[in-house]
Amino acid sequence: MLRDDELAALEARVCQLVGVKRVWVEQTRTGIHLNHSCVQVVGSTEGTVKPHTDSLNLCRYAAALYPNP
Amino acid sequence: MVMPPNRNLVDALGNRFVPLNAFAEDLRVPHHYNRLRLHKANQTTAPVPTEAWSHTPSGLAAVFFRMA
Repeated sequence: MLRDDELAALEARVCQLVGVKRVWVEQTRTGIHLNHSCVQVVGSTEGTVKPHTDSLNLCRYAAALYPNP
Repeated sequence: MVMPPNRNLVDALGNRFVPLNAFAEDLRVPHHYNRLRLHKANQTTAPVPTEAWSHTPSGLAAVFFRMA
């Protein structure tokens, strides 16, 4: 969804905000990684609210960007 | 919030999701266009259904997961 330069700018800002040198997409030994920079479409009939955490095995930070008004 | 030595909710509770009635909301972040909502991965999060969900075909969110 975001161009590489847009994603790089976003990641740089996140590094500043959380005080780390870099962030990256982690992979398991088998090459599995969390989808990133993808859009989730959410409608009222498409599911239920499911409070959750993200796995520390694959990320330290998670973010959502809202591209529509 | 999932605390060490647990790495995720499956480690902590044996389930990937927290039942809605076991979830105590302490901070609500409104949906704003072009807003980036950033959180630590071990914090419990959930979208809150809004009136807009039933009127528009899409509530869009681009999601990102990063190791640091």
